[in-house]
Amino acid sequence: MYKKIVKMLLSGAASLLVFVASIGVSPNSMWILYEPDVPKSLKK
Amino acid sequence: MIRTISRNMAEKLGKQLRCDQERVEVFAYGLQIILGTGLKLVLMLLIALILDTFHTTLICLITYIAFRNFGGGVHLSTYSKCLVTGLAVFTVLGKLAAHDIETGTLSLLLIVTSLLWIYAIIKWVPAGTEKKQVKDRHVRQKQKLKTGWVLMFWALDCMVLIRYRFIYHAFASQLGSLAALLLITPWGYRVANALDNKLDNLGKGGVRECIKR
Repeated sequence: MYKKIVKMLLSGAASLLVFVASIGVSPNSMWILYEPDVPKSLKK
Repeated sequence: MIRTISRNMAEKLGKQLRCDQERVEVFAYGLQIILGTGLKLVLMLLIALILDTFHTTLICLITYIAFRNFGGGVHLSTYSKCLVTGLAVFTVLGKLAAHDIETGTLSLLLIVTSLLWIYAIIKWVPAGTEKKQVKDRHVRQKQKLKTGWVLMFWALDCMVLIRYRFIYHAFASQLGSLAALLLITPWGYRVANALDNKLDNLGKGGVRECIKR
């Protein structure tokens, strides 16, 4: 049960990170002064 | 530091979820955005709270982000440089906005800033960097239009603030807008590059030399 909940939370966190990363590569610049290197897989 | 922490966390997450390397890189990128922005905002607002300029700094920051999000502009090369510069700029702007200024002067500043923004939208928006450039003509037009909408809402908002004599708030909003405008122009790029080099030199022993003297 515990493992299942942890797995669900981790999957949720992973989805959130993918979502944030996809916003980060959009033409809008959400960074105040610095922007990190965009990973190659997101440049495709 | 943020990059290393994000990388480590992403690798652990990838291991747990049995993801490939490409996916781990995406996680790390997402984490860099969340941690980097979060830390910066918390520090900025904390300093503003200590200096009793919370409202003006927050308004300044919101206006800056609204314009910057669609208009783009120059970026510094590392996160630490960005953090230091961002904290310094918004602390000064928040403090500056807490000064009394006449409504006539504010109205004039609003007109001048709006006109400068119209010129900047036509000429430079979306202002790109080495890492991210918008070259597609259609997307550029879209970004120009979106920045135009931001400008319109911002100008209306400022007019209401001036009309009801929320002087500090109106001034803070105008300072935020001017900061975003500067970083879109070629002069902003030059200032940021010079600052980048200066901070690089400081990192290479410039500070130690100063202390020795």
